[in-house]
Amino acid sequence: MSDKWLSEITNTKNLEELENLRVKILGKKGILTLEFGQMKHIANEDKKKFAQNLNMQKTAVIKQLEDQKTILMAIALQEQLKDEKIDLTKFSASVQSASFHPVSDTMQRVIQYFQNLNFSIEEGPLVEDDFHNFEALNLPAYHPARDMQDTFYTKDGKVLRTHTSPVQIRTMMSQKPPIRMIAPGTVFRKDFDITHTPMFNQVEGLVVGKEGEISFANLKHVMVEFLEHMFGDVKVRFRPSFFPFTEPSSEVDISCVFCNGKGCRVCSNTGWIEVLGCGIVDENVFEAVGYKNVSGYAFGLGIERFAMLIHNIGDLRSLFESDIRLLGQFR
Amino acid sequence: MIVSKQWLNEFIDLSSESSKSISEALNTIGLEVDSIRDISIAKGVVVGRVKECKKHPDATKLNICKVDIGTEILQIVCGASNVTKNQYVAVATVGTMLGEDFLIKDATLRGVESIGMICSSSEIGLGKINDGIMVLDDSIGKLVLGKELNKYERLNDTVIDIELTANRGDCQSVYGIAKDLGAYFSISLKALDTKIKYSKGAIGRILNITHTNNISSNLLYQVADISKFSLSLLYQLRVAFLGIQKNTQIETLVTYCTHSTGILLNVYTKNSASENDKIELNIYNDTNNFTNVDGKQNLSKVGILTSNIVNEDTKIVIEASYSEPTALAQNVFTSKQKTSDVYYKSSRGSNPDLEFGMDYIANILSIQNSQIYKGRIDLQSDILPETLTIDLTKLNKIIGQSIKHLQIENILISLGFIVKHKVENKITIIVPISRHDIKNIADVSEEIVRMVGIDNIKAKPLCIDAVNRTNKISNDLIKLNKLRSSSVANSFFETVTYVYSSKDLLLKYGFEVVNANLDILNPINGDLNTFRTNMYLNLLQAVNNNEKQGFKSISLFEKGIIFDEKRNESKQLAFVFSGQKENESLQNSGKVKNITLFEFAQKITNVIGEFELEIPQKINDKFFHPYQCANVIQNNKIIGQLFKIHPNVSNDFDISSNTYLASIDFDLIEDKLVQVDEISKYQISKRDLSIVVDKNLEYKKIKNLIDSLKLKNLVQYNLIDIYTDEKLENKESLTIKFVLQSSEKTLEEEDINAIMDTIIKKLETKLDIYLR
Repeated sequence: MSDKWLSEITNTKNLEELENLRVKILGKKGILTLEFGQMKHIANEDKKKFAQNLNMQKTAVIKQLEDQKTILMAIALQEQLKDEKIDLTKFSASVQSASFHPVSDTMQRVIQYFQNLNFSIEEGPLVEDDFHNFEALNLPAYHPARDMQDTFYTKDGKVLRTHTSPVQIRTMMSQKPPIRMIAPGTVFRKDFDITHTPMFNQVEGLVVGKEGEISFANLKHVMVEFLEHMFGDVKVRFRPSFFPFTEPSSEVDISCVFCNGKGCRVCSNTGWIEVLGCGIVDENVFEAVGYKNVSGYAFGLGIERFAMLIHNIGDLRSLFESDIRLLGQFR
Repeated sequence: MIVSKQWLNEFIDLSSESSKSISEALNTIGLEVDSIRDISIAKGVVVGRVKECKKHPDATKLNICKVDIGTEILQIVCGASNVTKNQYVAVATVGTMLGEDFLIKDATLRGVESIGMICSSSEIGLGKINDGIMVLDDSIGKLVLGKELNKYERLNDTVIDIELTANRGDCQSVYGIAKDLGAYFSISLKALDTKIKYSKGAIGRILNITHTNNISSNLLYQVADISKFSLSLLYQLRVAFLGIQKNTQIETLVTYCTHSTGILLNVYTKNSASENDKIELNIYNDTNNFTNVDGKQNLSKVGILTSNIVNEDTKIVIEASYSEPTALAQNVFTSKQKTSDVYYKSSRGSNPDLEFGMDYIANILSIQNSQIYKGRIDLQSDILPETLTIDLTKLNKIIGQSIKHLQIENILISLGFIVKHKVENKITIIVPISRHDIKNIADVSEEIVRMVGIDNIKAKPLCIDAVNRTNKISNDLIKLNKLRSSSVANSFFETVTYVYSSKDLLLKYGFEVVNANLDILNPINGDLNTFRTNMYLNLLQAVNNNEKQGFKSISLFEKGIIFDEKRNESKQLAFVFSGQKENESLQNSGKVKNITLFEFAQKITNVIGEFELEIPQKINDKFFHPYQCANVIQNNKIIGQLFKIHPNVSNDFDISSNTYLASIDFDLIEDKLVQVDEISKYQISKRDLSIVVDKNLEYKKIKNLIDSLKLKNLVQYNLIDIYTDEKLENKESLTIKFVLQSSEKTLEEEDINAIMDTIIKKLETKLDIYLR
């Protein structure tokens, strides 16, 4: 008899069938329950054997019911999971968060590099006086570089700073050597065409130490390592140049990042791209801020130019147009 | 500054150097090569001679020429007005490619067959020398009929454009560049081979000069008879390299000689100077200390303004001049004197060796069939050269490398310095008078650096004193970068815009403007003619730019500087959100609602931390939506504004009316180190309370009331629903979620009810608010 029940249990397809079967066998009016009720009709000497037999069968049935329940639950879970299946290839969400602007992002990278080299960050006003922007930087009033065309003036005789160099002057006048600073910031030139915007960003650097302490060789070291950090595997070339506030001065080129120095339209077939200017601080600058017996170097670079070279951006003006088609690519 | 290999070759023999090595040398010594271009005349352009030249019967402007090219005689129809018989000309034969898509083919012009083309200088890739064809002469080499022009070495030159720095006045000439290259390559310059042809008379027969004694410029005069003068092609072509086209050949020659030698040369003709047989010049210094040369009228301010030659004459006065550049520039600056082209050269320092310039031009004039009157009138005073004592140890410390003293001396000598004497580590040197830029040891070290080559200076790391470089600016930067990160995470794109604004627009929308007397004197244009006093207009323009591109959900932020009316600068963080609150996606089933003010404010909260909105006392109703604008309050301080734009503004900017702006003062945004509260280990309870209130009742009153109860176990409460329907008429139902927790025990039902009852009772008695 129990064999038949056991096989019926094994054949149940779901938990409901199993429960029905359990009731049918072990419920109040279940077959096995009713069998136990037959006990009273059994002769006393047979009762023990009868009861043993029924208990054995009951134990076997219960065990089988539990085993089957475990199996059916596992099957049911599998079914449920199957029902929860989704087509993951339908996933096509776009990034909902936005992105940093390439100019400020590049600015932050430059700042971070020099902070790691123990440079402080300094800043100054956008509207400057003649002394800080020109005079103290060895750019006297009659200097050819002070062409009216390049500079925005205000009606009260100030200028919109044409470079971040006045921050050098302010820092030297408010602090004492040793100085080791960068000045990131916005600067202004009166020029507006495909390669010029009337506002752009620079980072200025200045290091001042004791006389004879800081050399052109030191400057070269920092500049080479910095440019390799920013542009990766590039060659760096120094060309002597001229800035009123440094002497000796140099312009620094990197091998063209677009053609690897082979020559292309971007580098005017020279294989080189000019990226910054630097030099040993001119004695006249130290004199203007009242420093004596010191030495130092300074450098300056345009952030937009760096950003354009690093990210392959063709049009300078596009950096000031808030165009999400451009900005969205930086997500 | 343009030079060419052949032109340089007049002064220095660089035949052993390739164009590439010359270019590299120039860059190494600080003469930046901007571009380098080989002139190569196309194959098939040959020397020809016009044997016959007749007018075309059917076209007045065309000529029918018979041109001998050695192997054959070609019939060529030529439209140039200057073509005549017996000229040697450049002939592009049939099959020649002039440029990428200009193939010379047989042609018939107004019924006349034309085999080839007689070329102008620009048509074969040389500079433009005139409006007609190029007439060849033997200045380019012996003319052989049929010889390819690309076989003429002097024509196939390499043109180098150098971007000269402002300090190198001495390199404003081919000669100056040659000197620097000579020093670098250790090649001596060629001696100028002068063979001047003199006329019978002396200078006094033609020129009479009266002058005062205070003349500040150095001047030298000579006179030439140019009745038979004509200028060879080669000189014309070289001046054409410079992109300069002069009206007369004598002016072309003066341009050539000035560019060659760096000496400022100028020419006066008899007609312009005087009506008599003699040329009378009166020279004096004016009150601004400029040297003036007068003839019948003022002819020039030396080094500043020169008058152009009106007509050619047979006799010319040649003037060579030099003015000390610094004094000249200072005087021009203080007197606001108008200047012409010549000032560019004179203010950077022209070549003071006037005799050299005179010899040079006299020599060419002699070659070009002219004669020079004997004698020169010399109004020069001595230029004292600069003497410097240089400490070589100090010099090496500036460079950061030990360069041998002998090498330093040799470099200086090769650059024309005189090394006078040496005491231990010091040398005394005399600076060449053409090097106005050398004034101290730093200038001298630059000469050494550029001649040694920066590539040969070894980079050395600097040992530094470790100093704490933290300051307010670096702390602010950390704060800024946190704000930037959370702005971006909350879907605001970072942007950078100009700090300028349109004054008209600022005034139109009722914003403050920078006081007129502090404003920009020379703005770039009318739209950017003042300092911005807010970033709103920039951001709305940015929204417009993006809406035009089809974007429906536009959110941007900028950290920038704005100005107040006294032009004080302050740092602001400004945000704009316009249109839909997000883009269509599977998550929102493609149905996207517009952003609301509260959603915008929620995003700003995510960026700058919690704040309250308060209705401002004064509202700019030209720009702000008058009923959706607020001050942003953090720590009981107004730190900014948050609002919807006025519909008129969205019309003006042609953008969605659903546009919100906020501007927050960067310095006022809270940024202090967090102090944590102890975390209660007892359970949190939550209760929702729905109340019916008058629509006109400010929610702030309810908040103030609840806050005034100072309920110890009320941790937090938030408005989570606003419901209105017709039955409620002018009332609305608000649902507020209360969060309750004690730090001492788990709150029992009666504790909670007691708190809620207190709140309900207060709302009833003070604000007449009842439960829904």
